[in-house]
Amino acid sequence: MFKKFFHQFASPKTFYFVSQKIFPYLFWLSITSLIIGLIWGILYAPVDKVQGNSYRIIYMHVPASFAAQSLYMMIAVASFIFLIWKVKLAAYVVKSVSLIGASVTFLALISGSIWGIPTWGTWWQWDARITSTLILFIMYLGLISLHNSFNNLDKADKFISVLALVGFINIPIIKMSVNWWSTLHQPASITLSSKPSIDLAMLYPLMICIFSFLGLIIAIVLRAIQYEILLREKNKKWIQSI
Amino acid sequence: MMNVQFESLRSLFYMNGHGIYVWVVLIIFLMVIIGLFLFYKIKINNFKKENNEIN
Repeated sequence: MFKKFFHQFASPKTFYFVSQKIFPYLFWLSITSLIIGLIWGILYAPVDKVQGNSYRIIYMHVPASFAAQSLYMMIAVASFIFLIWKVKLAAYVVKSVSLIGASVTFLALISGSIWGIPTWGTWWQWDARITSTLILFIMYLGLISLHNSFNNLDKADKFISVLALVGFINIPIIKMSVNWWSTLHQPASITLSSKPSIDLAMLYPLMICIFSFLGLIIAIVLRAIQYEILLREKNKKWIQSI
Repeated sequence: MMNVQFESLRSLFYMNGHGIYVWVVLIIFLMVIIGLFLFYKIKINNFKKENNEIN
């Protein structure tokens, strides 16, 4: 049953029409909750005793960093599926997510740099977390430029899938960098194993922002995959009748 | 009951000197979201338009 579902959903045509139906719900739910989270965080959450109001950047920086890493994990899983089972939809996912991942990682880097000015007195440090996030950004750019450098799309799909899997080693490094090395970047405030070190009045809007931003980015990813399907399958009858 | 943390609109924008950082990040954040959304919307619409002209 799972195999049947997997094969059916992995068909570009089925994915296109199913994602078409999901998109408006996911998009509007995410955008509404993101607006609520941002208003709550910027206007209503209490001022931080140490950082003052500059800490409110957390409501944009943390969701962007979380999404940047999540999107790369999505790319790695899709690359694995493509290389092992040759599912062409997985190759479309790898290609489509790269540009969105680069944009979101850029957002994480730029928001962190701006936050660094009032907090650390500098916009950049070659600190483990920041440097590994910069490597993630370069990885995304590498995937985009490598794919664009091939005329043969099948070859391009294979090469970027291999490169994406090699680059996956960077994800645990980003995650653990604040624990492995003594860095300027603060350790994670929210972990699965211990109580959050952030006050609940600040945590609730942060959680809303993280999950609603991720939902919004997934909605945009659905659109990007749809576009890739249209481009790659343009000679198919069902596309010509859209 | 939650209260707004700022006494006036001026103090909301100023945020004790930190407003510039928070608002600049918010603007970039919104620009990236809107930019990505519009990028794919325009690309898909253009594709469909061209597709309809060909057929």
